[in-house]
Amino acid sequence: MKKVLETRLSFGAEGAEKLVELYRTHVGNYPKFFKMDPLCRLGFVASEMLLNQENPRKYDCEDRAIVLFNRSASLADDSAYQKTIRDPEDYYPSPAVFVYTLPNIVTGEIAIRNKYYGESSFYVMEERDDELMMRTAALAFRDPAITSVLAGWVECPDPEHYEADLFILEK
Amino acid sequence: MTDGQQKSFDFSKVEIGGILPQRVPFVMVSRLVSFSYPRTVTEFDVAGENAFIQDGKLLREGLIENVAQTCAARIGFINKYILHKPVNIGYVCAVNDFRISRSPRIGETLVTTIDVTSEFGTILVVSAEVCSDTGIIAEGSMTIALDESRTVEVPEAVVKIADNIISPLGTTTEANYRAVLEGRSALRHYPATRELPEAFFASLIDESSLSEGYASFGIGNGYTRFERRIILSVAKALAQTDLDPASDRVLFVISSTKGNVELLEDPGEPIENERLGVSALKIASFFGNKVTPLVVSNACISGLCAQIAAMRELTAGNFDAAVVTGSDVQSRFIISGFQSFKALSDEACRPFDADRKGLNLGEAAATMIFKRKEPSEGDWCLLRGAIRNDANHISGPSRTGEGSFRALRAALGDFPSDELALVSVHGTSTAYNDEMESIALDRAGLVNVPVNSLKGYYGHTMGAAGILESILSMASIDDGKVLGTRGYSRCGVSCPVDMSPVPRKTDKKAFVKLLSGFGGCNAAALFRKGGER
Amino acid sequence: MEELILELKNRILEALKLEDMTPEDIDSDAPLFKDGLGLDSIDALELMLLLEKNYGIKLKSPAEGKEIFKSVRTMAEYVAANRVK
Repeated sequence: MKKVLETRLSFGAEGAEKLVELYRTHVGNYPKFFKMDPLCRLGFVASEMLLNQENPRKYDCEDRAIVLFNRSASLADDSAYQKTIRDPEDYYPSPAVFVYTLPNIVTGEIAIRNKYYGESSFYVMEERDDELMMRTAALAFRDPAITSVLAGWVECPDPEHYEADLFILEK
Repeated sequence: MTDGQQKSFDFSKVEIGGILPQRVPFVMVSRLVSFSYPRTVTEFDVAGENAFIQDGKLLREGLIENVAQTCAARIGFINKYILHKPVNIGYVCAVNDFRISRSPRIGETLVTTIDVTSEFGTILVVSAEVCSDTGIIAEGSMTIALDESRTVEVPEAVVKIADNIISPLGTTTEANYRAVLEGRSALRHYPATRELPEAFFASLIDESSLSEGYASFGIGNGYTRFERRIILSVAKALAQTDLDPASDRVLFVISSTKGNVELLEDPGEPIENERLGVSALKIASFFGNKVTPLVVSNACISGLCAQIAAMRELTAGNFDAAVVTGSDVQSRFIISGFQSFKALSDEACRPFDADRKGLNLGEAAATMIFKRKEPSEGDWCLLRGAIRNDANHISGPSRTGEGSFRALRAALGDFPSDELALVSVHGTSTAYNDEMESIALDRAGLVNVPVNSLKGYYGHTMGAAGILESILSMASIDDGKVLGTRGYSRCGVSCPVDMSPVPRKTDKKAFVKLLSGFGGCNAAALFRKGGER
Repeated sequence: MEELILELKNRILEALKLEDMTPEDIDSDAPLFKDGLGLDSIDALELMLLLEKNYGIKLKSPAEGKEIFKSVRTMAEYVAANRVK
């Protein structure tokens, strides 16, 4: 088993703008990007920068798993959703915000973009542990259909903190 | 294993059949005498039924095989007792030079000592000495190449050794099963309030019904509703075993979609208390377990994903047992969210029914404890599980049931569908989910297998669903039954399925659990009772 | 009516996060769903929320919305006829 590709993104409050910039530079023709919450924008852009290094880039397959990890799950969007329901006098629960209140949605966005029909999983860990991440991601290889795993850390607790470390593991 | 541990290890308890692939009459090692990385010693009782005997004597080929199997036993021991990996050895060997001074006879016991002179990955070069009570009878050196792709058929499986369900229908699996068999449900109408201006239908736990349980297990006030329900469920399951939950060979796997999200209602609550990882550590720590728990948050399929992750950890030999537990607590956050999706029904849900109007939300905590062991006849084994994505839409299911079908196909493999007692589907009672699942079942060739959904008894219990619904499927098959689908009367999906509102008889011993979740994910798992193929 | 149509277009762009578009890019009579702007089921729900939040109009289900959300013009006509705010 070996790591064949890697990408790293790390931003503070400038992250929101930076991600739009990176989207326009590296992707560009995917308007769904603007519907995504900060965590999904981070994961999506990082995955695009990662996969753009692949030659030829893999699309439409069942043998690649997506296994991602973070500490805060979907907290950034949870907080945004909570705002839409906080005040009973100004109560307008938003479905477009609620749909992102699950951390695994980012794996779904990556699967949709690349037509990956393989496994998609999400794990939460309080202390980032790269060795444990690697070992857990590699468990996907116990499914005989899986030959590579897009894995890594995608953490965005709020729109002022962004950290992504993604890699491809091959069997 | 340290030198000290090697010296004090009781090698007489090593069963040679567990570290070598050979079977009589090709077994050329009777017992392991001692082990260290450079030197390993075995004994072999030369007996008449052995394959390499001719005219009462052991042939040269037999002595060479004895040395090769001593090397294999060394690696088998390392894999099984030190690395806790599956034992995997086939081998080829080249004899560099091997001189035999005398052929041993039936009745002699040979003591074989190998010293590893070099080792490159799977290739060993050893010098070997075979002695009998008369002295050295053979010596020489060999190169052994191990074939790690061939694994020993170790007859162990991932077996469920205990379970528990905490729900509005009871705090034990038995109480829940009886209630469901009788068609009972806690689903009811909750009228509009200032905080939730739209009424809803749900099955919610009455917290006061659990206070006795909390008291009896010493679960105090420092835990949230989410945490203490899980702790209670785990405690009740553990009480059925003699497992030491504090052992570092036991892994906690926790499944939840939203954990403590209701804490966001209180702006004064420290943000870390809302984090699932923090809850997971508190839960494991209650039981004295210091291993980092695996925390699965994969939408509504989390309960099955947790079981699949546990199965993989156990078969990899990383742990010997896994406590798999899951729960979700309904809150203003979640209820309002599903209301914003217009996904809820204003009455008890009707899975797969022509008049279904949407789902109901539910609450439960459920636990299964798995162990890697040789299964007995009555043991439930998790044989295979698969997770697949629709790659279509983040909240709506694929019209072709893509991910669901692929998960079913991968989980079933070549298992004959006529041996299935049941497919327990997700069956949330939304227009799209149930339709999609029927398409997936049809594509997977499962339309003739009895099907049921348990959402009509509990509503959608989210993080607990995969665990709760698997437990009840096992309980029903143990009872020779397939549970009915409460709320179903008239087929409302385009691919006809074999569903019934009332329980049916079965004498089959296997089932598939199927789930789907937001994010386009789908999971399927195959369970079978007993070890025999 | 034209004022309301423009107002609706701006609200739609904001609510559905159609970042790279302007009101001029939306044809008042073109279908919003299917081809048109390529909106999906969640967008339909957000449009219902938009009607409630800004105009006090409560629709019971996405099915009710089907005719209303045919185009921006049909939306505007419905709002003009039914607005409470």
